[in-house]
Amino acid sequence: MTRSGSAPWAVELAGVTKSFDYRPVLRGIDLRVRAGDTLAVLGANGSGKSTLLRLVATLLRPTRGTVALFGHITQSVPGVRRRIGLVPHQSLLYETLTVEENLRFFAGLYGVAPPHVEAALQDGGLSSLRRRRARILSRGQRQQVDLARALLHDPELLLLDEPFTGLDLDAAARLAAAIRRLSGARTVIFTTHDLAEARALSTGAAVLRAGRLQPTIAPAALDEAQLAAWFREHRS
Amino acid sequence: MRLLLILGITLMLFGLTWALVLAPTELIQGPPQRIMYLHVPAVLTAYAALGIVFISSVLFLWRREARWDRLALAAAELGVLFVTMTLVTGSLWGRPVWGTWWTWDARLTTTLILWFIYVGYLIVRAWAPGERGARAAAVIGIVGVLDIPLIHWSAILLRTLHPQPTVFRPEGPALPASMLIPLAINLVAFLTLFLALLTLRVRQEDTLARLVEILEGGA
Amino acid sequence: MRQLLLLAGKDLRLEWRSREIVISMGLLALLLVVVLAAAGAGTVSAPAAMWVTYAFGATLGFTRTFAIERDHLTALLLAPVDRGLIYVAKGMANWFALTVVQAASLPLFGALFTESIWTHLPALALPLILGGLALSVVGTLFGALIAQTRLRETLLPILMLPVMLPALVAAVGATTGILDGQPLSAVGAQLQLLGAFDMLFAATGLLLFDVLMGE
Repeated sequence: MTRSGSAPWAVELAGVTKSFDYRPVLRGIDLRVRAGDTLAVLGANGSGKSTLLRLVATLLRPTRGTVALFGHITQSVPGVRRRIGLVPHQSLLYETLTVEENLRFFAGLYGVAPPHVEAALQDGGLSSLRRRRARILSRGQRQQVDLARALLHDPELLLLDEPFTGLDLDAAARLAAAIRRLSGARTVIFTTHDLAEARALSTGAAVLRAGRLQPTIAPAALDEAQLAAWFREHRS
Repeated sequence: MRLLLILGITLMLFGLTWALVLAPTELIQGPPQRIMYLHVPAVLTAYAALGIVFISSVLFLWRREARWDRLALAAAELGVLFVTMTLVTGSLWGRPVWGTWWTWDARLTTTLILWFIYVGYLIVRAWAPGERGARAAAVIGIVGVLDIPLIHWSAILLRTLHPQPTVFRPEGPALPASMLIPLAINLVAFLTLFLALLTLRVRQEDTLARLVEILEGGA
Repeated sequence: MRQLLLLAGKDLRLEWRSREIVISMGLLALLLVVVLAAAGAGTVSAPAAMWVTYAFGATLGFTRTFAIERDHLTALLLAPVDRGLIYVAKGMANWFALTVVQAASLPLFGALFTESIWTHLPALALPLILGGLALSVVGTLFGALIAQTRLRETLLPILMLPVMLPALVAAVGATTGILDGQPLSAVGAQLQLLGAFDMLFAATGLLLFDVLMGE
């Protein structure tokens, strides 16, 4: 698929509603993300952040509205999937396979040559882990491998679902550094319920509230009290 | 729908009376043969219902519009009902006439298997509610109907005891007119009632869906 | 094609690591053979026992191949892989497991039921393979169905076996004929039915799997 020259948006959602069993989880979502931006999507637990991410990843189809990636309305064509990398909240690694086997498998799926796997292992500082079975990795390590997996095919769009949850300080710092390195060259969208992460790493922040997305604002403009109020509102 | 219901019930009463009282008694089989007036319409209606399940399931999976799923569900429920009726009346007919409650011939086997497949359809709808369950059930609805010729073929490989078709034959029906007419009336009665019930059931589901949509604010 | 081998290879490697599926299927199969032989004692024929065993073994094992995927299916769906390939790969993995069970149970059938299994082994391979494929093709589709809808795994036999009936009837018929010493031509009709069944449901499975996976 070729990029349409005039489209500046890497991701564009227009009037997107997503219902599960006729219950709307997301309503009337309008979102535009420019190529190279890093967007933080905030929301309380269960506010639909993962659903939004999956819609962008073309894993879900909108009940209403359209999702366009790189200027093209997506209908889950294999070509588009090649340009997306997703790190979901649950690890996608096969537990009984080793790190190296996992990466080789995913590389093969995406048609990525073995040398890239080597490079990924080295760059990610994962060489020492290569023969470990995924099952015995810590959450932080697993996520490092997941990130390496998501980046194997050099995607233009990287999606991360609550990547910081459950990480210790060290792992979190490493992840933040990785995201910083990736920003700019790629478009990154990550979901979180932590204000600090959003402020530190993103170029724009949007809040999901009652299934609707507030307009994207500068991360500095995020108001802690306002957010807390919104999160509380969701819980009731 | 109400019209259909009234029409159906009237025809049914008329047809049944004719079938049970007025129609001539068959020479060889005697009174039990009158079950035919229930059995044949039941099996034809059952297959009509399953045909609707198949078509709606295909349409649902293709177009992803919930209304096809609702139609398929209603048709499947009625389909199971009429298949059950077919099996029971057939068995009751068979006992006095053939001396056995059951035999593994092509048609009986096919009908019995279809009963299981479409009960499976209903179980999936019941235990996996929502869109995913609907899609899964649609798959079953389609697979079931596709299986029919194969089931038939396999049962023929076993043996055949079922009376050869006396109505739907290339040479034309072998039943005398005095029996054909009440049979036809009952068939129309069954189909009319089927359509009435189908419409009623689909409307129920439509209303339910609309209600859910309004309550959840999805409209 | 390369992707297909990759996917199937992954499934086989996963299975090799845990051996969960083959062991549970295999043990169930052996148990069934023993029970049928002991309780049946002459009234249950070898072909019937064989196919009952394989059918139930299949229903036990085939839900597992999708159950182990759980969230991993996301990764497969994300990848630029034709959904149909996932179905074929799973089907191949299932079929492989079933074939292993079929092979492993033959000695027991030979010992407890009839020795003619050994004399007719080459010809016997035909219904075993065609029937095994039938079970795999349908079982993989329904296994995916159950996994996607998070239904109880115990539903697989209920859903699968009615649909399988024609294939099982044909398989038993063909097996009976062959064990009786008849030439393959005598069981031609049964084998044809099996072939038709395999092709119809492989095609149907491919089409419908794609739909099942979409959201």
